[in-house]
Amino acid sequence: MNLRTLPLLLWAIISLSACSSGDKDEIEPGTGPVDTTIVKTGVYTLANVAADTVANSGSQAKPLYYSLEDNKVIPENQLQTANWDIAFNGTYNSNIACNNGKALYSPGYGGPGKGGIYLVKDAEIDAQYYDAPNKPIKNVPARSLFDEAFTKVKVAPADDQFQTNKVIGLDYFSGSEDGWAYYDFYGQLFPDKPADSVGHVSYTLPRTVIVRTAKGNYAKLVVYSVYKGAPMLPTRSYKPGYISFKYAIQKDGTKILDIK
Amino acid sequence: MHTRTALLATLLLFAACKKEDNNVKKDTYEDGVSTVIYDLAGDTEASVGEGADGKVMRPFKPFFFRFNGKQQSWDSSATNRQSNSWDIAFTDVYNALVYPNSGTDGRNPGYGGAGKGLIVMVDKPYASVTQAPTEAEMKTNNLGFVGWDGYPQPYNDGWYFYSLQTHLAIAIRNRTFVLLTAEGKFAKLELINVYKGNPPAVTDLHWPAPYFTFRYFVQEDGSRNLKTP
Repeated sequence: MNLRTLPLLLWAIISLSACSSGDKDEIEPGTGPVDTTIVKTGVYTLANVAADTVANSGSQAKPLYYSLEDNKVIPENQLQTANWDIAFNGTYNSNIACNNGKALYSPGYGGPGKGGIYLVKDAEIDAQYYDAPNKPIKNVPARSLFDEAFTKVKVAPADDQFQTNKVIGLDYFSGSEDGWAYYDFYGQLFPDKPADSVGHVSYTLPRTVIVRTAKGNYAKLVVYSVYKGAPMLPTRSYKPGYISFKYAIQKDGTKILDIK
Repeated sequence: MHTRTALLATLLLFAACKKEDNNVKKDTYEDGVSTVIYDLAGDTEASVGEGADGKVMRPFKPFFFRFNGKQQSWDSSATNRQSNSWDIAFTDVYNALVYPNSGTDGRNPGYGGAGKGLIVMVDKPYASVTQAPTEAEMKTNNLGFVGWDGYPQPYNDGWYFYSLQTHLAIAIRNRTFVLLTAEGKFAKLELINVYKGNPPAVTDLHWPAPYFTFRYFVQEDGSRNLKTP
């Protein structure tokens, strides 16, 4: 278990190609929180953010706490603050949790966080790779579908639609419900390949997660990959624990997520 | 490297519990009124990984169990699933995801049938669970299923910890489940082990599994009295 005490990789260099363009003319002024950070309304893409890269599923992975507001990793000693917006936790960091101080099962319980999460299932996009709950996906979804799913989300839902206690994780695995990744436990997607090379592989799904941040702003994100290098077609030989994702955040307090 | 560390951790964990576990003998499960099931074979031909002799890496076939008469069934037809011929179903990885028979829960194998099943967790030893909660309380706290503790949601109480790395499932001691059977009778259930022979500690990845050891008591008079010696 001393692996878990290794100096963590949370401070590993994050390569981020940020492209922020305000679009302020199109967005009506909101009534949300006053933004005090340098990150502006915009779209941000991150590659290989190191979560628990030495995770073994014998225990919960070391969680990764991320601030969408500030676009950076937040250390665990700030858990009960509003400084982080999403946590990647659970086995192999496969769950996304929000920061909500009032929700007993949120990692931010007891703190000031106002967060929530919501999973978008787009029937048109799902039809291109998804079969049915509790079944293997039809095919590995094309990378372009992730961007399409992301772009199609233009507004956040009503606040009572957000989950606060629940995490969003693996799709229909061992009692779970709709999720953002399909875990091919038995290598069923590629029956002709050695099961050991294609079994126990996580395929991310082109489903957008809408986030209410700890401070109460709205954001959306899509996860491209949980493997180092974000391979289009992961196998078991790729290293897990490296999260590549894209998000957009709206800093004016409105629910408008049609952000370029 | 990871495997070795995890195994070491597991060994250490067991070393710490060994004394207590040594005092647990099979015959202590027999209390005169409960039914004890030893080594009920699940889908022993399925495997979670390559390299297990005679096993295939594929999903586990579910089976169904009726408390009255200790009947095991492998009939997954809709007719059987939606009947009251079973009280608990053993599904998914290692057959270790256990459902009561509920006709109303969309995730339940019995969905669409007449099963009245509910399941709640009580963190007490089996013998000290002497009364079921009210049906209303059970509806409120219904877990729907019990499996891997803390999964998929942090509030999903389960009956074991499971490591995908070591592929070992360790039952949680002194945890009891109170159920409504398919027919709506109160019962209590202790899920004891998934490994053949109910060993106190398993370190061998290929220890024969799944073979279920569990015990239960159904209160046939319809009351919530679950007292056992």
